[in-house]
Amino acid sequence: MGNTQMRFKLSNNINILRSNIKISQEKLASEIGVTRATINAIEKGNYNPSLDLAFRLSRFFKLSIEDIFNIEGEL
Amino acid sequence: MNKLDIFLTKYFFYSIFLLIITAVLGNVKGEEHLASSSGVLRIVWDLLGWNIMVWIVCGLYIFLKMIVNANFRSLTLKKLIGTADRDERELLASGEAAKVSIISTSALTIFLLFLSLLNVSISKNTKQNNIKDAKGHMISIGMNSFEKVNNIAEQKTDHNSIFEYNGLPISLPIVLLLIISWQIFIFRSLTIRKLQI
Repeated sequence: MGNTQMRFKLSNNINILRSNIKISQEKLASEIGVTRATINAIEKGNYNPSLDLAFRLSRFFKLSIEDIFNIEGEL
Repeated sequence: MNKLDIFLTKYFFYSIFLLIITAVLGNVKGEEHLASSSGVLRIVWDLLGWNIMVWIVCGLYIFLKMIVNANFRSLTLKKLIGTADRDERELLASGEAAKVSIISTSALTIFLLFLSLLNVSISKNTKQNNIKDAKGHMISIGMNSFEKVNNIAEQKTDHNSIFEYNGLPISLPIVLLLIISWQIFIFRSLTIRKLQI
């Protein structure tokens, strides 16, 4: 069985970006079409969003994906 | 789903509690006693009896509609199984849970098939067994053929037998209920666990 586990961790600044524009998890979730639990899971690093969702977040905050997400560890 | 379907589906699932009450009442008070009683008890017993008939007709309608109407099937079973698919994270969790669920159900089904075909018998050794110089007990392990599985009751019992196992000692509806319950339990528990992380 091959080891397909990724050895990097994806962190993000969504919590900070959200605080800057004073928007709740609920509001952000409804703006980008996901549930509040998903925003919470992304912020805590428990869920890595798809490319599609990452682009939606990037458009919402008007930032590049790299400004929102950071990769920790080796790819 | 139209309003009638919503009502009938809710009635079908919630009135299961009434069926349980009917079964308990019938066992505790006795069906004959209830049928010959009078007053409130008789009215309640009659209403519960009507409920069983309506419930069966309602069940027939729901299951037939589930076969012919994909939308109705999807909506009803999604609620029963507890599928979460509001966004990509929930879809991913549901997908992973479905994969584990189908694998574990397959394992269970194969195991049950093996048990239903298995034939084990431990008996005292007698001259009738035609084994020369044999002493003590005889163990026989074999497999039932597929055509024999449903006719286990017809098999003759050996008087010298100490232990005999001829396929699953439970009925087909219980086996099906076990498989369905197992599949839903695995799916629901995994989905909830994955979504709580």
